[in-house]
Amino acid sequence: MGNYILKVINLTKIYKTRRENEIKAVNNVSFNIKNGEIVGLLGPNGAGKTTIIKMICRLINSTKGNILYENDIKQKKRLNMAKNITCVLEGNRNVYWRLTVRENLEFLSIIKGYNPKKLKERIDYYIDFFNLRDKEHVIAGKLSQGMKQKLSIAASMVPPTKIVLLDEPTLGLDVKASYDMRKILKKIAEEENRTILITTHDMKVVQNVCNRIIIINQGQIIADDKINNLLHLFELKNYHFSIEGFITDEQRQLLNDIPHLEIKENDKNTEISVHIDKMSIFYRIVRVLENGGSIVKSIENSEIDFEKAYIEILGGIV
Amino acid sequence: MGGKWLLLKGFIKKERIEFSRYIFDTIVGIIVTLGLFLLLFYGISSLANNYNIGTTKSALVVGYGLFILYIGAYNSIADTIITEGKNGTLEQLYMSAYPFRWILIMKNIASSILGLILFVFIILITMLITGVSLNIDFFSVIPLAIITAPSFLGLGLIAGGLALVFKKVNGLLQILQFSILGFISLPISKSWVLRFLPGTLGTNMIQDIMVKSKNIFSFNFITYVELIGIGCFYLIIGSAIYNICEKVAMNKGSIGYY
Ligand SMILES: Nc1ncnc2c1ncn2[C@@H]1O[C@H](COP(=O)(O)OP(=O)(O)O)[C@@H](O)[C@H]1O
Ligand SMILES: [Mg+2]
Repeated sequence: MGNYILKVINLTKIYKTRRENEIKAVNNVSFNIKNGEIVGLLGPNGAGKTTIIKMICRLINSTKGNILYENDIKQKKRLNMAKNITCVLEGNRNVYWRLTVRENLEFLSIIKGYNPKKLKERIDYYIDFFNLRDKEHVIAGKLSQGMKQKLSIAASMVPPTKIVLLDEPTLGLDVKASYDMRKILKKIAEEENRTILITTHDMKVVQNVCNRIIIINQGQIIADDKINNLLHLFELKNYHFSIEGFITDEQRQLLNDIPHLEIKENDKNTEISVHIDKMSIFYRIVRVLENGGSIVKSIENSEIDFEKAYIEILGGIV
Repeated sequence: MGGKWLLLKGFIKKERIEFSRYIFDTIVGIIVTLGLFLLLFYGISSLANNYNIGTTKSALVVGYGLFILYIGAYNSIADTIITEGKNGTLEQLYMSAYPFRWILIMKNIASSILGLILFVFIILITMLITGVSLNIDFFSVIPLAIITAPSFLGLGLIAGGLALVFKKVNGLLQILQFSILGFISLPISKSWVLRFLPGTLGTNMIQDIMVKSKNIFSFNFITYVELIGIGCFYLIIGSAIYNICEKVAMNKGSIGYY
């Protein structure tokens, strides 16, 4: 059992292409998502994000593995999925271009099995939420890319499903529309009481939106943690000590076997930069300096933003 | 059941909105359809001028009307998969709360209702223009047209399944369209095999009503059993092939992947 709403177990997808080539798009991926969590699935192009999303939505058969909903309902049947999940797939094409904003929201609710007459309040609520009121009776084909994307997401919010999947919500948007979309996502994260999984290759999209990030590369999960922990991990890594005067040879020897440590001296000061992965190493350095009587003027941990962390994780440093 | 009714109403509303919003396209479509037919009609008439072709002319009018009707029913399924696949809405239909086959069938019924209206309209207009007189017993024709439809639904499911797996199937779909033209114009009196082709028996019965002034009670019970049996057969075959194609597409990840 356990307290989850979506459970992905050992999910694997191998695409068989012509000439007996095989592409392992998703490789033994497992994660649980709790009710109300907002999770970012982050990874470069071709990492397997869309494949995972489509397997959850039952648009693609998995090669191996299971997907369960709360109460351990298996997702074998498409209808189990349909009751629980709405999804916006990548690329701005999830709505009918010949129907107006409102007609789209109504028709797509019917498709999900809800009578739009009973969802009138929700439809109006989301038209306002996504700032689409003045476009309510405009056909979707005439909306800007950003507006179309907002409409697609609105359409996924109107039916009261428990889980919403958003695949690359900022893909193909210009700078301004992308900024707008990130603001909308943040608003969704703050105001919606739903479980949301957002995939993206752009860390800016998830940085201020998701409370948890799963990083995936070449079909495998390489990190899955609270965003703060991921950042913290990197804050620990780069330390910079400024020391008045010089350190002794004995101190130098004691520090010598610490990997990724660099000592620079200028005419008055010594600068020690270090890349560490355990706090114990940090304390060891502090002790060596303290015992040798060095005067530490400052300890700084270099600014690391999530972007840098992400790139480093992908580089396989962790 | 309430859900399926809601779904049907939804599709009818959507068809209606698109029909009237793009009324110009609709009218152009009807004019082209009629124009092509008149060309065909007068072409054949002048060729066969020396023969007594009164019944052939009537058969031509009815045949063409039926062709328009059933090509619509057949196209609706493959077209849903191809067009919605290209537009990117196919996945949304697939993630629906209804089995996808229901979606296809409801959408088909919605566009068939439109097709039936078009059928009646085209028959009436061509009668007017060509001076051919027909037995307008729509009370007999429409139920028969509906009982005959499952055969074409079956063909549509086959075409739709192929469209799901192989993306570039336009050539194949056109071949199937031509075969439909054959199925609805072959006379079952020529050979006993012909009646078992999809839709051939039903369309022959409709021809008999409209051209030879028979009515729905002119055929015996066995014929109706046959008609329904043939419809079920092609629908089941179509569904089975569609299911296989859907499974292949889900493995390949090619649902809506244009
Ligand atoms: N339908 C498909 N058939 C064959 N290979 C595919 C298919 N879809 C995706 N792939 C391959 O699988 C890998 C993962 O793709 P995808 O899930 O789209 O990644 P992402 O969404 O993270 O960019 C890529 O190498 C891609 O080329
Ligand atoms: Mg993708």
